[in-house]
Amino acid sequence: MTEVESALEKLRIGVFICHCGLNIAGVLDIAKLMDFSKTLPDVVYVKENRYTCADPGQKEIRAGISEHNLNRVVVAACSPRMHEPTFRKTVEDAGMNPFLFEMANIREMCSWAHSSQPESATEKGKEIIKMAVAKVRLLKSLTRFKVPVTNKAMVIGGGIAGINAALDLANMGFKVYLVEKDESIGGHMAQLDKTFPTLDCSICIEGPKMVEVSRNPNIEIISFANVLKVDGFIGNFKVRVRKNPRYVIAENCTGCGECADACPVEYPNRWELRLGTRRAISVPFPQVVPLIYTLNKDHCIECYKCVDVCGARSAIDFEQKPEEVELEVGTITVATGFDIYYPFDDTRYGYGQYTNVVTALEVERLVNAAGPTGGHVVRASDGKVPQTIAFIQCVGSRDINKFEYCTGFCCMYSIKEAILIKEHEPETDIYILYMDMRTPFKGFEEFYRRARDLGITFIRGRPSEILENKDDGNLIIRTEDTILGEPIEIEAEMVVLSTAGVPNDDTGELASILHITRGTDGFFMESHPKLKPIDTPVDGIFLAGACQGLKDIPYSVSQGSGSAGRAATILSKDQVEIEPIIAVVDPEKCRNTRMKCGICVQACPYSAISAPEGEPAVVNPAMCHGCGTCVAECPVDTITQMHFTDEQIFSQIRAALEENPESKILGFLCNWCCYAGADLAGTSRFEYPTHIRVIRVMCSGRVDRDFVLEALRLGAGMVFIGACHLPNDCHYISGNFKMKKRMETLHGMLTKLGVSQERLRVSYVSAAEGLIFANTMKEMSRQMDDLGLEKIKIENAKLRPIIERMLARKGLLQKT
Amino acid sequence: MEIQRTVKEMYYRVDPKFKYKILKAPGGETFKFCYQCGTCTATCPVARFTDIFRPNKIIHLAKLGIRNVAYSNAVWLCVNCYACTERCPQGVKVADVMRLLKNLAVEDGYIPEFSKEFMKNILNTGFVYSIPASRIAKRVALDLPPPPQPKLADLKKLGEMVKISELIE
Repeated sequence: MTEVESALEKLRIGVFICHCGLNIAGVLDIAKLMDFSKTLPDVVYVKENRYTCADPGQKEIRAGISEHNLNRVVVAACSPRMHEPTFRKTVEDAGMNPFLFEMANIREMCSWAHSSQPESATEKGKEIIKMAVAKVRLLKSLTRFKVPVTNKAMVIGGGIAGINAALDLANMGFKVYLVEKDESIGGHMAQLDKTFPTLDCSICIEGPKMVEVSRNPNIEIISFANVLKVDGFIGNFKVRVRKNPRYVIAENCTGCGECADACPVEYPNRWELRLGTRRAISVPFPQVVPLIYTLNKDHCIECYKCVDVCGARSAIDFEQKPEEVELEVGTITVATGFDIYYPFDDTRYGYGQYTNVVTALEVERLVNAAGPTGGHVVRASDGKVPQTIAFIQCVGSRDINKFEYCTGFCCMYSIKEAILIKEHEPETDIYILYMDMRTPFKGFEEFYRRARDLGITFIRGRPSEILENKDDGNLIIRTEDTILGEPIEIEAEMVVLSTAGVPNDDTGELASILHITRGTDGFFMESHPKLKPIDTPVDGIFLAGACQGLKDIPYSVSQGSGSAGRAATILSKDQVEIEPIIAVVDPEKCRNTRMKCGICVQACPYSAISAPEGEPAVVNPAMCHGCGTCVAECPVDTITQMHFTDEQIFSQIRAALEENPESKILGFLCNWCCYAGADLAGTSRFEYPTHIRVIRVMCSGRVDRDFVLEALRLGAGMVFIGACHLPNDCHYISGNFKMKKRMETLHGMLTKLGVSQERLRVSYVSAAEGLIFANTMKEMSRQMDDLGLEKIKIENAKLRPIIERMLARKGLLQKT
Repeated sequence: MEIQRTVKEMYYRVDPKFKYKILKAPGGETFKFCYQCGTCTATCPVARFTDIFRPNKIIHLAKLGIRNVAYSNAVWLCVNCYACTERCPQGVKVADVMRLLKNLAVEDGYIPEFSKEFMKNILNTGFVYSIPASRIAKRVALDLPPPPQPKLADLKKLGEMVKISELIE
């Protein structure tokens, strides 16, 4: 169909309203929504479905399209973040262009969020449908781009999850770059003595996997390296990696270890949690992969004994410099793992203060036969084998002052360590002080019983303090025994703190490099908690292992393999389709031809726009991510964001504010953070007032000043802009900063024009902050009530002629 | 339950060695499996009528070696009905543990006064308490045979063998 034909074609809109069982129909009056939808312009067919997303519902859409000759479809159901792809496919199957479809979110943002206000929720539901119909009338057919795929993968992090991801991808035939920040792959698993609940030797089962990685011709291990920069998009990422200098030439090092034997300097070995030492030139542990020695210049005294023994192999190079490489890959799997919390800041337990208080990971090294004490759990104060040991669970975990979450594997590792200690020293009396024993997976409960069988005593209670007896180094633990309901005290010769797992220090930095988001717990956030647990919001970037949330070894291995499968769905194709929601410049109107402008070039976070002097600006479609920031920044409105055009958004604003505008909050929510947060508020059933009418934009950077002005011209009570948190959460790098600057200026102007300052609000709400969204809505509704309708009307009346002049000057009013 | 506290403060001191006394004795080895679900206490017919007898707490106190409890009156309230043992999801022989705790208490010379009185009555009359004449009359009226006559001589012999007089005096 040509554009002329489509312009001439008469609009025939079908509206499908989903009951979603009682999820929607239990709150909203579906009959009223249907009657209302029939009155909307160009709507020729309205149908209700019990479950629109299920097979029968989709059939009804396809039948509706063919029987009623529909050329636009609106589905009023759940969030577009949930089922927009489903329904786009449905209408495409029926021969329609998938971009002539629009969703009205009447579940997450209506029925679930307003379950005790059915009447006003139904009114809101009507207007959500009205806004969707207004937009769908202006939608244009779009074609997805096909881009080539680089059939190589990158895995960041060489722990057990990353190892499995790399091996699976390599065995499927793809070239894999495995980037590891430490000297060796292996991760935390290599540090462990045994694994629960089978008591397999950890390095004995991981070691062969590590060797397999090094032998696999498809895998290139890039160790002792950092990811600096990631550009590009699905199928076409460019990753800049810095290889840090080991001062040892990898190709020349045979791993013989003669240099370490010759080295006279020892320093605390971080890999051994500083319980043991290593030489200034050495490997952190014997099984390292790749087997390359590292010289630590902080400790090297430059005696050159290593150089002498290395001799003709000449592997040592004191002049080695960091090396940067740029790698092209089609997918990236993030498997950067976790770190362990060291409770130095928790004075109750005396870690770092009392000699005989250690962490569980330290015990892991002590109980390991290859560890610094040769497998003897001894205490530091006198080197004696402790006869009484107390484990304290949930140190840092399940504490809103530290980490709110349950680490999930501490119950099991403590049981394991207690059993191992009992096996080494059967006479030891062991106490495990817990709040809840959590042993839910295969073989775990049996393992817990095995610990009790060995006589390990479990006490329910969280200790309040530990006192140290200065004479013998013993520790007195004081706790409430919640089963007895009495306070008790235990004298132990050693205390083991089962500390929480925490996100790695560099998680935030990596999140901003990759443009992926983190949850409130600091771990990377998956695309959907149930159905896309391995995907990130960035197509082509996947998560595996504990970097997404703490998990044990089998779960990490499964996710590693799962992420390989997800990556293979892209790598196995020559081309992938990408969304055509990009920015397009109208060369006729671009003022760069007449004057030096380039504002869009500055605004684009991806350097996707070029504007040579005297020529109109051009957007590179493959590099454009479709945030729309340039569209909002363009001073002459000459850039259009496909599927989110000015015209379409104005139509939504007008539809939302046609009736009783003074009592409404018009919200512009960015797709990735605030819209997702608002969805979560609904999913979590956090109820809030019904005033808000939401317009979804891909990025808050898209929110044009004119949108706010138009809303106020039409009489909106309040305008809300919801964005990703500053500074790093923006899915498009810096759209939120651009919006902030723009809105601060506008806010200043509006305040001068007598608009109450709370009537324009910018909030930063993450996808995890459903409660914060609901509370923000409650607060704004309260403020609106406090202002009162009359005051808002008076302010608007004063403001309207000024805005009208401003918008008329830009020619925006004629469009109405 | 009466438990002695450490002198200065309110904390009960845990004794890691006490539990081995129970683990060593026949019937006691299962008590280590207890995970404090409370099924025993919920099942116990005695616990329904008094707030001083909680089998799960007694098991836990024994594990912690807060030994005063073994010598408290509470454990003597167990009537050895074995309902707890029947229902324990971890196979703990709760009633056996109660018996062991009584034995340990006796070994250490602690028997509650009411048990001593019972024992004296048994040695003297063959019954826990002397049957009142009115009860005998009732039996006659109902045409029931008289209660069996205790063999006091045998009881005395038995008492001497276990040196019961040393315990109850």
